[in-house]
Amino acid sequence: MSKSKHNIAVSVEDTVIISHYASLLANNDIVESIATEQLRQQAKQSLLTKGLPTKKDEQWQYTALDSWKKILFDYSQGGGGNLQDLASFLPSFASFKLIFVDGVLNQKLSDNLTNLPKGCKVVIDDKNPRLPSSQEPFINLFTLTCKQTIVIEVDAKAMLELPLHLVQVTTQQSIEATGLAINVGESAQCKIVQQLVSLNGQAKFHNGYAAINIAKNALCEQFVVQNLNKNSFYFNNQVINQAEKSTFKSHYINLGSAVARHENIVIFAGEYCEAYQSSVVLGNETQVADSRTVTNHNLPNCESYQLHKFVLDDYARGVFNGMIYVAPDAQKTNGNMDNRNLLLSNNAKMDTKPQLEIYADDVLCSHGCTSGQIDKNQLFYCQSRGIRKADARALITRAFVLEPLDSINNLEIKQWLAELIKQKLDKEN
Amino acid sequence: MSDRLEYNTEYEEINELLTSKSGGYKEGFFTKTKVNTFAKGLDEDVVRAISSKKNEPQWMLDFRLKAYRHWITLEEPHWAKLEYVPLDYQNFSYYSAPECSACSSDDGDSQLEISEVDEEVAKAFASLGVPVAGNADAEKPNIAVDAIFDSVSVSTTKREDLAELGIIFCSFSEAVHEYPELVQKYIGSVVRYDDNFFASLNSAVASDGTFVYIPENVRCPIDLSTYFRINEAKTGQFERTIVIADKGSYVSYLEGCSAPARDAYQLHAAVVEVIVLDDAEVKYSTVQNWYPGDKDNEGGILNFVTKRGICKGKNSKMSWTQAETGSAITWKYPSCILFGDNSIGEFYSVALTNNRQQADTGTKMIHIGKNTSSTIISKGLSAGVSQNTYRGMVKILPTAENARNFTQCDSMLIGDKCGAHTFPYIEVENSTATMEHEATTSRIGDDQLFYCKQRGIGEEDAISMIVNGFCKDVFKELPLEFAQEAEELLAISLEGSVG
Amino acid sequence: MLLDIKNIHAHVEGDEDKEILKGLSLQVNVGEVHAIMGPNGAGKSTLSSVISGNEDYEVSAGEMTFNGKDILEEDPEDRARQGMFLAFQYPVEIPGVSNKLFMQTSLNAIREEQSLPALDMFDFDQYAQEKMQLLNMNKDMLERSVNVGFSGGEKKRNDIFQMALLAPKLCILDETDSGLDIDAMKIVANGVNSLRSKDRGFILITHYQRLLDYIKPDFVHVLYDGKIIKSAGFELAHELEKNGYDQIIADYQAAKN
Repeated sequence: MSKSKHNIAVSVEDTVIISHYASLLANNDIVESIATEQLRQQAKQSLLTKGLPTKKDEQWQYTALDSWKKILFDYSQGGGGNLQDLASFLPSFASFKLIFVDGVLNQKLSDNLTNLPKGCKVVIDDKNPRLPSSQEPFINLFTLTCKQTIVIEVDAKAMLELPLHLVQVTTQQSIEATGLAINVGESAQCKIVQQLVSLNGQAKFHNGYAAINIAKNALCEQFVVQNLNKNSFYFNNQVINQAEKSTFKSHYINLGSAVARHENIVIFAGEYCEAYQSSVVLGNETQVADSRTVTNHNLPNCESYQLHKFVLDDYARGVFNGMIYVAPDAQKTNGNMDNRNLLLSNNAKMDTKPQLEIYADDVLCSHGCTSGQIDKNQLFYCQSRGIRKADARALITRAFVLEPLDSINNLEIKQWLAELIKQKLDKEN
Repeated sequence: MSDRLEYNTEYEEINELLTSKSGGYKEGFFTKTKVNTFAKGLDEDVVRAISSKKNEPQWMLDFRLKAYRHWITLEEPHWAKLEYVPLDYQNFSYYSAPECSACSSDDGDSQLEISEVDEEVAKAFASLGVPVAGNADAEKPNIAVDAIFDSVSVSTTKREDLAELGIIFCSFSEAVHEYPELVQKYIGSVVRYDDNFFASLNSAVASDGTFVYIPENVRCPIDLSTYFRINEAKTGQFERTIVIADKGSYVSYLEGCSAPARDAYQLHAAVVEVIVLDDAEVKYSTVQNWYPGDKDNEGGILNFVTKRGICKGKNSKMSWTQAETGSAITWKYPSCILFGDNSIGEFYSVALTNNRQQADTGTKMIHIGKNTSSTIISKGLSAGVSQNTYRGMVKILPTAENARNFTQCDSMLIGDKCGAHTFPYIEVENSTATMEHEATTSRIGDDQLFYCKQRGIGEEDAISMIVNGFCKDVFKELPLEFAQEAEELLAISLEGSVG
Repeated sequence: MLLDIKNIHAHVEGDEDKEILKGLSLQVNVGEVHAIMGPNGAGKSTLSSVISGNEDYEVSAGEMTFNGKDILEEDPEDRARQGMFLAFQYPVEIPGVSNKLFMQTSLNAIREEQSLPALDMFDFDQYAQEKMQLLNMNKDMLERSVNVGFSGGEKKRNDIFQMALLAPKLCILDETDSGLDIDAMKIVANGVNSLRSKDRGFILITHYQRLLDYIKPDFVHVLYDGKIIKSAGFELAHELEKNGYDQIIADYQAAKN
């Protein structure tokens, strides 16, 4: 039997794209460490042998990359556009802000790094970017193109009340591959808000990678608000390592981008960990929004809860892919994953794969998912009480999509997120 | 056809040895009979030889050859969550038949005479409780049976009664001769010759199977049933079954299977095609009890099956119910293509794995027509060190307005060395559709066990009661006798898994 | 003597530091109804678990005989077969298993112990119908899965119904009144009262005295700190209702010091 199928030649198109991204930093004058150079080489080799993902890859069958492949993104040359409009995008709650414009820290707009809250260090490391080694194509692209890592260290027992707020602003067509390394010390607590905004219609290729390590007893709550314009492409891979009795809470809000794909890989490296993961995904026109999670219950007595809600209109396509893995002997695992989707137009599509892979018996694992339109009975009930149909739809849609925010304890952040979601919904209706 | 391709053997009585080795598998006896078996191996000559053995018309041979030529370009799929070494397809024999002068199918125009069923074969079926011509069970009032022994159908009961209603119920080989237009029209119409690796293989070397046609507006008064038995060592069984329910008709079709205990893997790659026209309904029930192998599942049946029904007409209904307890490996996804408006697809499944058994099973519901609805109830039980996977697809195409799907898949783990996995694929491309999917994984609760014990019920009984309760939503879909058999099988298959 | 508990010590399985029963003694004869009362956390539910043989608890010292036979090493099903019945505080759900099948299996297990022939489906049906009337239960209840989709009251009634079916020698009711409204409680009490006989003993474990107004016990015991600290007749229940546990506990503490 023919064996040729295993070695499909990488297409010319893919080779061109990969070579382009490989060349971005090659022209830099920066001398890199041997280790860094090796990682970049490995990433390039892996990409050149395997090519970029196609619909035939099970992990990518629902995430079309055709439009992304059409543009070869370069790094921004700096300069920045008109930043006056930025203020209107920023929330009013108090936070420690770091504002990056087209990938470069804007010191004028940002809070001064010397005034960081007590117990917290932030370093923007462009000498030694933290590069992962992986088989994943977009992680490899990251490793190939990453210029800097934002390193956040939270000291043991530090309780940061003030959220750390990273704003990544786009004003020019460009690639941004900034890494994020968050280390939360023992018994420490912190909140990190990551916000992506476009100030104009320029396309952004955001390809992020975050390594989050949460020490014993610590808590890290993360908010990612992705509101890039609809010419942009958003990819983000996050790997979260949790030590015993730690808690990770993540809230992903997907509002923008032509194609967006956000993935959490949670690894419980100690017992009695908890992880809460939620998504709110709004999509319309021809947006493709992909939210995925892998939750590794490697050890006993851990709990994970997930709620992912999608509202899709026009020709939008939503993808949810979740995997709860329970290792042998990971007894007393509690894993729960819920995906609920609302389709507002006849042409919207939703593809869902909620998966369970379980090798231990004393577990309580479940997943549920539903897709459908607004319940006609609910609509009629509202109408019969004098509420106009359009208002009733908005009311029901809002109530549906805001539910994942219920698990947020910080009221200011919760309100801000709810407002952003409402605005986006209202604008589209 | 050259002589070197076949040989005749008379086997020694090794029944006792094998049953003692197989332990709990009570169907594990071996029938001593004279058989005509092809030498191992597969090439175009073998395909031609099978066809010529069966005296097939040219179009059937062409179908086989087309499939064979496609098959050799394919690679054995390994995407399922099943671990097995790639099979050596040259190490199986692709034809085996009991050698008696007038056994059906050899010449294709068999008229069954009671005395013509090989005595040993008849005995084998009798001890399995399967009615064949000449044994006492043949007069069972509510069932008609096609009994298939290795590659050939040996007996089909109650045909005359059915013929009066215009119902065709015969072996597949016979249908090729007697009803060539029907077979030609429908073979490969639901599962194409190039559908997948195992379907192509089956299309090339299809042994025997059952052919059912229910004419317009006829409600088949009795259950139709096929009983498959793999007897010969190192043979594959590649049955091909076609069920056609014409407009307004109804049939309930049952399928049972077993194989002797062997120490080498046996291959089973079947294809079932079901065509349901306007307002018709087919209920297809399977109790799969192929030999699972010894404690390490060495020598069990490798079960790679493609089953698919198409609800072609409006208001049609296709219902699959399966109780899967046997086989070393099960790879099986009975599916429904819901093409007709208002058509209904159902899949009810209990899959139990014990020892080292592996099952990757589920369904596909493809919604094409308007107002189509589907229900999936899957109950997976894993015990021992087995792996049990539900893999299911629900696809709602843009044309399927107001489609509905409800899926419930529950897994129960018995012991801490086994695995239970759920891999659903849900694709919704029409917003008027409603889809609901729920899955849970759990084990038998300590509180449940204590409650039963406090009522005087011993642990083993309590477990069997709780397990049967877990499967009840599926068992109630099985015809009564089958449901009982399934419950008993469950109990036998679970033996020794709890302690 | 029906049940004789002497100086029982028990802890949570695998946690020897967590002793819950600390030298409890109790004697129950046939024909007697004993009420065990006590504040939350006194060990009331542990007592019912230990008597019925729940493996979540381990007995570290003491003796327990049932019908004169040592049962400490016996499995819960063997104790049940010898005539012990526990009405659960939270009756357990068993999806897919009908009440009918469950109770038929249970009854036949107990009949087997008594060397009686098993009841077939029809005999069982007839037998069950009689008992159902006693508890005002819907006929469809037999077809439903064990406790699945039952309201709190229905679950308790179902347990009392099982008690009536199995006709045990010793009935232990663990907080059967909790969560019941007055009507449900009356039905349960009626069931219990109709089962009172000179051949049968009862242990009612309860936090409140209200059930005792309907089922008048012969003896009332106060359980506190893993021991019975006071025993008396029915009048003790009224005293507790009026004055609470405080005085009795204070007296006990004083005596202890």
